[in-house]
Amino acid sequence: MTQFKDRDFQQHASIFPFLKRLFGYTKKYKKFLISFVIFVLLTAAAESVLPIVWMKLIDNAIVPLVNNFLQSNGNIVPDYSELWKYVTIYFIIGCSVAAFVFVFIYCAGRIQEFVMYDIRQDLFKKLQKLSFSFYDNSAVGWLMSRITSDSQKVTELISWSLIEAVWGLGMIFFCTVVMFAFNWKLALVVISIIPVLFLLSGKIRKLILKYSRESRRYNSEITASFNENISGIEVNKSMVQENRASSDFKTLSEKMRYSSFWSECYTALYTPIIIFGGSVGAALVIYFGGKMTLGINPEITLGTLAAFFGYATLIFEPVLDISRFYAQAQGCLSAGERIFSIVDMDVTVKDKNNSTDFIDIKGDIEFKNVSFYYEKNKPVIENMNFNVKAGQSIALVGETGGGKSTIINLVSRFYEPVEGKILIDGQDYMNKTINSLRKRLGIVLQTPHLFSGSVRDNIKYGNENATEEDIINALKFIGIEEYINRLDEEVGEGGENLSMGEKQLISFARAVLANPAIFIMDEATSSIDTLTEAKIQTGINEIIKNRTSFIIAHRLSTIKRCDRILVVKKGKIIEDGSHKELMIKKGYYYSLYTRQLREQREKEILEHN
Amino acid sequence: MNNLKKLFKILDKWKYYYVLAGVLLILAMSVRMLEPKILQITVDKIVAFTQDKSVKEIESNDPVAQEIYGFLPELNNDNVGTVLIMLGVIFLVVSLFRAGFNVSASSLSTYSTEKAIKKLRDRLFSHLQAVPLAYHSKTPTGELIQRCTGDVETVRKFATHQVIESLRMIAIFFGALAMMISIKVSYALISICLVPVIVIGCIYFFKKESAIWSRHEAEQDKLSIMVQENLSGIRVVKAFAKEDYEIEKFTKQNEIKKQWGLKLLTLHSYFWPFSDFLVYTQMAISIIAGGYFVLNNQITVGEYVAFYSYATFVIWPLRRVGQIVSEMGMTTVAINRIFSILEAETEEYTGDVAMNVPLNGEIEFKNVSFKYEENSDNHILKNVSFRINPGEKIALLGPTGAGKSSVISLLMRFFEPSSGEILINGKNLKSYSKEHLRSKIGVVLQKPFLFSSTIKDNIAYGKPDSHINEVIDAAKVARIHDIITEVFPDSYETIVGEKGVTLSGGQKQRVSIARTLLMNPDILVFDDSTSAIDTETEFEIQKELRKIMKNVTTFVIAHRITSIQDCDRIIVLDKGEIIESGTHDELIKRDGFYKKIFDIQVTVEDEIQKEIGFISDQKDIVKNAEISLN
Repeated sequence: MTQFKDRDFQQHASIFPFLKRLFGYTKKYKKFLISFVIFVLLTAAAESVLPIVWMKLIDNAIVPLVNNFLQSNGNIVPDYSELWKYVTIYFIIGCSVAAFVFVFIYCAGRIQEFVMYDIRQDLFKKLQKLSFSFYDNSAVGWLMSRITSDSQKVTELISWSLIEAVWGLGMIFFCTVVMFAFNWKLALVVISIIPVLFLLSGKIRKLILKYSRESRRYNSEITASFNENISGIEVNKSMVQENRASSDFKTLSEKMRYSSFWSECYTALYTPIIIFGGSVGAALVIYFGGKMTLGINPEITLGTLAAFFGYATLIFEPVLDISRFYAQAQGCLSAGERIFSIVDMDVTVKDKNNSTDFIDIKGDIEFKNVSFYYEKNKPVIENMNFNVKAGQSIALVGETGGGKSTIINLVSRFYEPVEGKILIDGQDYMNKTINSLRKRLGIVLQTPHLFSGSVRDNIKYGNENATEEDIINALKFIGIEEYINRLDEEVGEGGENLSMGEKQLISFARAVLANPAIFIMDEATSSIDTLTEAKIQTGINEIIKNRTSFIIAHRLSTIKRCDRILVVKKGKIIEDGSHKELMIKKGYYYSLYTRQLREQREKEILEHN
Repeated sequence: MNNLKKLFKILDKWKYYYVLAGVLLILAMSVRMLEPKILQITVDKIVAFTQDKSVKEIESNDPVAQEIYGFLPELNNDNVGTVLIMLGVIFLVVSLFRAGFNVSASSLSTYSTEKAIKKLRDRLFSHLQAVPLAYHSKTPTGELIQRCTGDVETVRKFATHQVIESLRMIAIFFGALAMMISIKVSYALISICLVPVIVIGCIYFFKKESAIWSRHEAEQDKLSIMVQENLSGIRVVKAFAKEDYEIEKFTKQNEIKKQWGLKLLTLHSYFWPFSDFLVYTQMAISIIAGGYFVLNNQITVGEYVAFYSYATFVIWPLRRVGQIVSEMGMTTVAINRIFSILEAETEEYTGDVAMNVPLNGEIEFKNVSFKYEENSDNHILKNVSFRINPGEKIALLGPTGAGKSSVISLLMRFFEPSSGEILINGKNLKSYSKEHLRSKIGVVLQKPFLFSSTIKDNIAYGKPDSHINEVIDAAKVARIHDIITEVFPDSYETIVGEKGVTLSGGQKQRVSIARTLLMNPDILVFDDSTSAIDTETEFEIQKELRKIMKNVTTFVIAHRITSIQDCDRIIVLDKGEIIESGTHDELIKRDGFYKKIFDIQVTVEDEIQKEIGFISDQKDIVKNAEISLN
């Protein structure tokens, strides 16, 4: 089994397949992606042209006039028309940049939200299909972060980070083109600096990555330490270990500080160093460019020099942006891997081809040489055989981990037998659809789970089409008419507004509303007050009457009332019979019953005094 | 202002480093201001050279430029290369200084922030260890953790990035403005005429944005809660075959979240172009105004070129003002939440009695009453009085909520009685320090909490420097040694808890018994701590305990009568009052609560015998049974 709790997704995968797959999600939004790229490139183009306008302005509107002015010793009235012309061009380009920016932010935003929506949709749908064995091995919190944070992270990569990358590439490209158009020698000078910047950038990024990973790891250790020492505060206080815990924490927080410092420090170094690299280029421009402007036939104009100087001091920016994209892509790699590992997960329990619906289930169930295991040498259920007639109620008893829950999970087809067959009404359920079976099951789980909403919503969960009358009948059926007045009550997140017993009663009503052919219950052991317990008992009695039922029972009264008791131990049935039969046998069941009866009586007196 | 004070408090002595970092940043910025100057001078030199004019005529009058001119020789045909090299070198030196100042300012602020944050984390941690248990029972763990991690991170990010960023922005703004003013005041003012509009626009936008943002977050939270609920209830979903219904529900919320996300992003797609537009307008105004100045010979071409750069310095960073303001808001909230923890009062640990005085185990409760809230009428304990001699073994029995655990909490001074007094060796409990009491009273807690570390560390938790043999001895008494050595993969070095082996309830209880025994307490308390251990094992543990804890006063709180039968005395509590007390023999003679429980054993056996007897009589039933068994 894959352990999803602690599995570390190492960065072994290459970045390109990941990006390819991620971009696959944008296929549906081609329109946005294409206009996004086009407008980012247009922005870059416009921004790379601006220095040229500035240069032309100096060269054509300023310098000649100033020269004339100086030569005429200030005796001519300057002509502003050229100046206005260039400023208008400058302003128009500026406005188009603003317009382009609007389009690409609009598109990028749409790509982000649409793709995030799609990824979350994919993940959630997959999670609904995955089988119990997957959930047995995955922590809810772990899965949650896939849907919430990881999906956000990767979509930010293909929207906002992508803007930077495309802009950076466009900027480098257009600047290069423009510079070559004006003077290829000086262009080479500026461009020669770019690879050096990338090299530097890569080196520093690596260091940042190393320390930021380290600090993230320590950060989760710090959270864990807070969690542990707050949850365990009673232990710390009663053993007077507060100071030791604090000093242990100090060691940890010092490690965190160290790696966090270096990661932030390299981040802080990063930009100034790259800018300095750009400055080297600018200095070269002053030298070579300055030379070119001199002489009788100057190779370039003053404006060109100013423009090249501008390019040289700006070229670091696209370099930063491109390498930031690369770094972010790397950072998202593991998030992407985790997402796709879920999306690609095999659904183990699913309908086979050509499977047909159960028409009506009577409730005969037969286990034929059924074995179930994850690893062959550790069978959970071993070669189990039994036959249940429609209408019979079965109590499953035995130690925790003996295989009781596995049996009911097999009946419900949450697990499927690895070997052997399970027949329902004489038909192998593997040839039938899962939905047609589950629709006829009524299941009450050990910890009753409710969903946010009203009591009514939760009961209707068992049958969406139920009328108000059906709901009232269901409540009456299990003897809790008083809930009729509470139907509009909000149960809160996970049913937190209700007590355990109330939740259990509602989950009974929910199961009854489905009018199941087969009733399955994992009885709760948690402490419930007497009144509720008595009510639950009546509820159970009503439900199991004339209905095939499997009950993992803890309450002796429930066990006794079942038609048949299966004692399960280490994946095998060791005793099988009615309460009376097994009592006479004086075997495992007898001693279990005796011990539990005594404890139950003791508890009764202690609790009900 | 108040919040700023709190931030300073967090930054502690390191706040002075920020001042230093600020100075360095100002230096970096002033050096940066020189960069356009170099270009200005280059341009002017060239203009002068090509015009064949003396540089004096066209050179800028501002002092900074004059300084640099001082370095340079008069340009003529022979030294063109030298002058340009010098200019290039000056430029590089300037850049180097700029990078150097920037780097040192940033590392200094990072260093101080990390130091201050580490101290903050440590303070929070030890503070949470020192506040009384009552505080923890009132505040949800998740909330505390969120404050100690998430909120601290918010403050850290703000201190690392935004504080420096704001300083840098202020420095750039005023630096560039000063440079512009030094060239021409009227031109400088024209070049910043739209600044108020941009700043106000940004702040307005981020205010508006934060409203939509919080709505967006709320929808996102709803989505998370929905997923959380679905995943924790996935078994119900599957049991009722409601996958499609759930997908539909999720799709709806996902759609709502998407709509709010789009709203938020649309707002951004209006704002950024708008601010771009303002910036370009401002630039165009500067260019046109500068053009007039140049053409009227009020500034030089070089100054004009430099001015363009300064105007860029001033304008672009302004757009970030709004972001900084909104992050300041979030940081304020975080700081307040952090301080709400630090302002909680801690426990008083001191006492008069010397630490090395053994407790002997003579305990007396004199008319002790207790309630959680001072003003409440809900008494947990009412007028409880009893006396225990050293070495006695006492059982506390009674229904849930009778106040059994409160007796222990008072003895440990987790809480103080609201009236009456508790004496140990005849001295009031308050004269003992909490450390003294707690290290000498060993409690096996109701919830056997283990730390995720090795099994050895867990057993030696109260005495970390214990020898492994002591650990093994304690484990043997608690009947967990065999399990550790035979079942656990790495014996005593096995990691338990979240990241390691999961222990069953009974195993956890046994480890926590061993942990308490290792502390070698004078008074031993079992707070219903054997509930998950089977009767046989419990009996063995008790037998061992009797051997080694002969003179130790022992309290047992238990639900099973078998666990307390051999106690010297049994105190029965109900609704905060003692209703019975005495030895086992005394109590079974009385027709009280204890007798009722004791009788169960007998009645149950009778009941079962009767049941079987009844069945045995009905021979045909037996026959039927055999048939169905076959």
